[in-house]
Amino acid sequence: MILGTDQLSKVYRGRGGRPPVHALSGVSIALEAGSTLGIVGESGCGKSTLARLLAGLESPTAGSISLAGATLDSHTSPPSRERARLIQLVFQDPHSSLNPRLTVEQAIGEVLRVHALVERRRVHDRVAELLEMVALPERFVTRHPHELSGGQAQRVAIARALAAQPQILVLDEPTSALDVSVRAEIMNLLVRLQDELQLGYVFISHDLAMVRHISDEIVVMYLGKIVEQGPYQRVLDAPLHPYTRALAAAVPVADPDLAGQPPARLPAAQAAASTGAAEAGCQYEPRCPLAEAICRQSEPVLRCLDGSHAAACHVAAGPARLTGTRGG
Amino acid sequence: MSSLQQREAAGGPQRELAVGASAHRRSKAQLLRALWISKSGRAGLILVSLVVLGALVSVAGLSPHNPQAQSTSQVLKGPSLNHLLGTDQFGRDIFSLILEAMGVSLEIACIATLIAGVLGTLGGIAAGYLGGFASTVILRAADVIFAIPAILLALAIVAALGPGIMNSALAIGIGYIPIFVRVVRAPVLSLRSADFVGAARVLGFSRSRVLLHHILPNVYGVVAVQVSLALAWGILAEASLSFLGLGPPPPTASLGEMVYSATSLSGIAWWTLAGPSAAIVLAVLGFNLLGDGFRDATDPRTRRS
Repeated sequence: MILGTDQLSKVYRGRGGRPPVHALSGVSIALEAGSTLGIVGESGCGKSTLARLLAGLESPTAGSISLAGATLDSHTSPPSRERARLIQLVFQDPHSSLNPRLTVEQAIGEVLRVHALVERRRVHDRVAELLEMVALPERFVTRHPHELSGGQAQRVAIARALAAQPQILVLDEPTSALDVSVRAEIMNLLVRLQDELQLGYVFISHDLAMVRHISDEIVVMYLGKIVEQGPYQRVLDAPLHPYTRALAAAVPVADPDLAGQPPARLPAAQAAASTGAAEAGCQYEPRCPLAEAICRQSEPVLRCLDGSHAAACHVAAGPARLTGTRGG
Repeated sequence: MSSLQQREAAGGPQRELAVGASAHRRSKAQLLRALWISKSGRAGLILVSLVVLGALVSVAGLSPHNPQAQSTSQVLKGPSLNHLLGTDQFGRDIFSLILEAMGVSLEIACIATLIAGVLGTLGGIAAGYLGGFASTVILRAADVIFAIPAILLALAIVAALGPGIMNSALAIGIGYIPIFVRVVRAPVLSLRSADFVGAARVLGFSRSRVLLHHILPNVYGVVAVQVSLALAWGILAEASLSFLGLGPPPPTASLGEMVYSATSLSGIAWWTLAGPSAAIVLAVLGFNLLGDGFRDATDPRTRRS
């Protein structure tokens, strides 16, 4: 395990008399070196908060993060140089993640110089090398971010992250701000880079279809908590939690033989942001088509139900129900 | 997946077209062009160039007359080809005097702006980026200075320190610090949470590197506007101080002092008042227009083309 979290929680203080927001509660994940952990959930489920905590942009309220065998103190605030060499973050909006005043060479070269990764006179060559890794020609070195398309800017952002030679990339919706035609190119680039550099990925997305292409393991989050976790085939083919099923049903089917079936729909979204863990019962209960009496009384815990496949659901835990609804 | 990879290799990045320059992220040449396109920017640029050129002419000793040369035969002569703006009660050439005084005025305004700009920008960045206690202290200190009328503050400082070019500059500069603090703090607050600042932190850059290389260059636009406006205020404040007799002591030429001594003569020699007054108006107007031009050029919401 190269990256792990243990009962990671983040609570934002409520401003102006509003109650505190539990963005993340008790999240434990594990990432093996060179593999991909997909994190799925709708907006407001805490997945971007998780990305910021992993990268060190914010410090957790409770719980801990372990990185390459070392447990980071929960109040380690600024990301250190050592941490930068281990873990890097790729943002959703590539243009806003690049300093508008720096050229591509300045932006990437700065990383090389700050970390003293190459000799001063070799900086240009190394920048060109990094650009080649993300399939951009050397002439891009003089460009400013506003002279790049979304896909090009995201490639530069990835090259800049790779300049620090990290072992882990946290990808926070790296394709969702891009044109559909460019998404596949970036995804293929990420797959290739993982093969070449043995990178570990934490791939965050709201789109289950995007995550399935790349993930070895999938974590489904709902309102700051993990509701389902397991190997990607198990989670996709035999989802245990009704929320995962609803997410899977929302993925458009490209197969014309199957496309005729009307997709199951998510009930109208409730207020998405979790305002507190005060209420008893399952967080998903108000939207859940399978809810039973027990779901309103006690909150389900994440339990391994099928080998390494875990879910936090009372109904799924009942085996009769599980087999009855599988594949639906 | 392999077919997709082939597609990527075949025509991937080249197929993506570069998007056009976004409105407020442009090179220096483009900024100058935008400044020239804006009417106030162009007018300001011309006026400021004239004012600076005049001051340089005087510094280089190329004035039409020696500004300090008195002549009993030329006392209070009206404007003529020899004396473009007439002569004063000592027979000195007013045009040459204005050029010399403009140099002094610009010197004081520049030093004052430097003091206010450097201290105010640093204070604004610190208040915006650090937040918390440091921010509270800086903002309250700025409020205290802001609460005192600027010209009164300058008067008090000069009265305490004594007249002189540096003391005038200091007195004028201190009063302008809070404006830089406030104007710089606002964009820093939003830059602090910008993704590229987050990226810089994740990349392990030190706090000072993030502040100086990633945040500071992105507030140059608002600083440029304020520098122009501060120079205008500096010239006006310097003229006010010397009008009140607290400017640099004679023989240093000063626009305010010229206006003051002309007030008693204006009935018989209007040109002694008109020349220096017009010079003050043109210089202040020029820097104000230049500031407006910078604002137009850097803020896409007010930019006219």
